[in-house]
Amino acid sequence: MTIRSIVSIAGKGLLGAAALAALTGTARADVLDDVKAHGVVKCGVTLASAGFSAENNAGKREGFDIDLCKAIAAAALGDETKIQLTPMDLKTAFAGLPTGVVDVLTHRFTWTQSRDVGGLKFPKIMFYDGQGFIVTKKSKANKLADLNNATICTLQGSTSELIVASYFGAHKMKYKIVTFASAEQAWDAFIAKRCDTLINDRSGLAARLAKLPNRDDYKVLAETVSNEPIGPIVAQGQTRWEDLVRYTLNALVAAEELGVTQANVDAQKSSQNPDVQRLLGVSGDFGSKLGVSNDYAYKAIKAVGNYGDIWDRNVGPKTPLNLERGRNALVANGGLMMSTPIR
Amino acid sequence: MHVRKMSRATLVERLPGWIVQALLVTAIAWLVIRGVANFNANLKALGVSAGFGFLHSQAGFQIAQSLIPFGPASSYWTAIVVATQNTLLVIVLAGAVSTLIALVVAFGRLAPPGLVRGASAAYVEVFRNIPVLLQILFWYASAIALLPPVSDSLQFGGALLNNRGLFLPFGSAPHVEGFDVAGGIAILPELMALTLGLSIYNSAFLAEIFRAGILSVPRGQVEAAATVGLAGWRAALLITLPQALRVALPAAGGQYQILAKSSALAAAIGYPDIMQIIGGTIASQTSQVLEAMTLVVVLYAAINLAIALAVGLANRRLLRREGRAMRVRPSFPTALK
Repeated sequence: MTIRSIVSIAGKGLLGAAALAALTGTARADVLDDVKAHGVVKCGVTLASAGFSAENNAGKREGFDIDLCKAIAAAALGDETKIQLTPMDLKTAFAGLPTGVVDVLTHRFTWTQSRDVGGLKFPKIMFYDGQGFIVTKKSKANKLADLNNATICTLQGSTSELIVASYFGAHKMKYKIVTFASAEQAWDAFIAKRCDTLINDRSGLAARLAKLPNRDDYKVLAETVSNEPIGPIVAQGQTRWEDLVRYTLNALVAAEELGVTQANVDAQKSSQNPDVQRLLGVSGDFGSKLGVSNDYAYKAIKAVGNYGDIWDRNVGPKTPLNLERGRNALVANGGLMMSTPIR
Repeated sequence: MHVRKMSRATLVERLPGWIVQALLVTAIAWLVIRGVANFNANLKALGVSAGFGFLHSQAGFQIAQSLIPFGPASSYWTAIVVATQNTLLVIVLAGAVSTLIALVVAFGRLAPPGLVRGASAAYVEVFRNIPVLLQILFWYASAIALLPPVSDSLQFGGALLNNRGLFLPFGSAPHVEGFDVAGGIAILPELMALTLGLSIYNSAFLAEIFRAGILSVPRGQVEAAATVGLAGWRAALLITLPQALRVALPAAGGQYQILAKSSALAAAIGYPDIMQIIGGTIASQTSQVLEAMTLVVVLYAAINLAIALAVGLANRRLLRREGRAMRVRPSFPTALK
C-alpha cells in the first residue's frame, strides 16, 4: 500500500468523522432568548390523539396539548398564534428537545425518574393519568387476572412496557408482548386481533375509542395499573425557559382556582382580590422577573382560558372523549390539581 | 503572464509530495479534534450523556422473540445481544430464501420462451418495482387478517398455525391454552412477514444479478459439459453456476448488504430487531438516546462490514480456484500473440 493510498483512506475516514462532529453544531444558548429572537415557540406534539393533538376538519391541529403550547407562546411572545407544531414520536421527541428542534414538548409523555435525570425536565404535571387495558367484549376478560397468557400490544419504549413487566411479574402471570414503533401501529395491530389486549394511558384509550365506529365492541378494564403524571417537557439546563413554562402552566391552574376564566379575564383585571391582581400582573413583578411581559399570565388565560376551560373544550363531557375530571379536579373539588402560590 | 503562471505551478509541483500530504493530514486532524471537542462540550453542556454504564442495569421489559433466555430481570446488555441475534436471524433467513428463489428465477428467465420464462420475467418486474416497505406491510397485514384466531388454529401434523404465529413441535407439542399456544417453538407473524417481504423483494434483484453471471459463461462451457455427458440441471449446477458466481458475487454481495440494512424496516411491523429494541425501547427507557443510537450505528456497520468481508474472501477463493484452472488450460491469449 502506498503512502498516497493510506493518506487517501485515512483522509476519507477522518472527513466523515469531522462531518459527523460538525453536524452536532454548537450547544444551545438560552432558549427564552432564542424564542424571543425567532418570534416563535416550537412545540413537539403527539402525531394524532383526538382531544389532545389532532387535526380538525379544516386541517388545523387542536387539542389539550395544543392549547398548552398556545398558552406558552402567549406568555413568552404575547401572541398565541406564534407557534410551530412538530408532530413527533417518542424517539424524535427525546432527541429533538436537547438539540433544539423544538423548545418544549407539549406531548403525552410520563414524568419518570430516569427521563428527569436523563436530561428532560418536567415543569408541571398537567394531567394525572393512569394506564389501563382495553379488550374486546368477545374475549370475556372482565378483570386483569383474566389476562393470564394474553398477548399484549403496546408502544415500544413507553412506560407501558415496564408496567406490564412489573405487574404481570408481581402477579405471577404470563404474557407475550408485541411492541410497535408508533402508537398507531400498536393500535392497528390490536384492532386487527394480533393481540388480545392493548395497554395505554386511559386518556389515550378514550381518545382512540372516541374515533372508533364500533366502540361498543370494546371495553377498558376497570383496574388502573399505574400512575402516569403527564406534563410538558423542556431540556435540562435551561432554567429561565423552564421557569417560564412552569409558571405559565401554573397560572392556568391558579386562574381556575381564583375563578378567572377566558370569558371574564378582562373584567378580572380590575378585581380587588390581591391574588388575582398578582396573577394577572396588575400588581407585583412576577412576569418581569421571568423575563417576559408582566401580564404574561393574563395573555395566556386570554388566549386559551384557565385549566378547566382547556379541559372542557378538548376532552370534557361535551366532547367525544367525555372524560370526567377525576384525579384532575382541583384539590378543592377532591382532585390532585393545584397551583403553587404566586407570592 | 504565461511564463509566470508556469513557474508558479512548477514551484508547487517542486514541493516534496509529503509536505502537501502532511498539510492535508494536519488540516483534517485539526477538524476532527475540533469536532470531537465540540461534540463533547455540547454533550456536557446539554447534560445528556451519561456514558454506557446503563448497559449493566436491569432492562425491566420483555422482548417478543429471543434466541437466548431473556426476561425483565435481564440486563440491557442482554437485550442488545437478543436484538442483534434477531436482526442476524432475519438477515440469514431472508438471505438464504432470496438466494434460492433468485437462482430458480434466474434460470427460469433463461429457459426457452414459454410459460416458465414469462412467469420468471413477470416475477422480477412485479416485485422489483414495489417498495419493499409496502411488501412487508402487505405480508404482515395478510398474515394477521387471513390467519385464524388461536381458538380456531390450523393443524399440520403436530404444528399449529394461527394469527399469533406458526408453532412447531419442538421439545413439547404445541397446544392451545387459554389465550395462547403453549409448548413448541413459535415463529412470530412479524418474523414471517419480514422474512417473506425481504426475501421476495431482494430475490428479484438477485435473480437479475445471477442471470447476468450465467450469461457471462461462454456457451462453449455448456456444450463441452454436454460432450462429457453432463446436461440439464447437473450442468447448470456443476459447470455454469460456479463460473457464473465469479461474475455475480461482487454485485450479489452489495445486494446482501442492502438486504441487511433494509431489515431495519422491522420497525414498521414490530419485529424486535436492533432498530426497535436498541434505537426504540432502550433509547427511551434510559433516555440515553445518543449512546443507544451510537450502538445502532456501530452494529449495522459491523454487520455490513462482515458481509463485505465474507463476500471478499469468497470472491478471492473463487478467483484463486479460477487461477488454478487457468494454469492447466491451454494458454489461449498467448497463442494469439
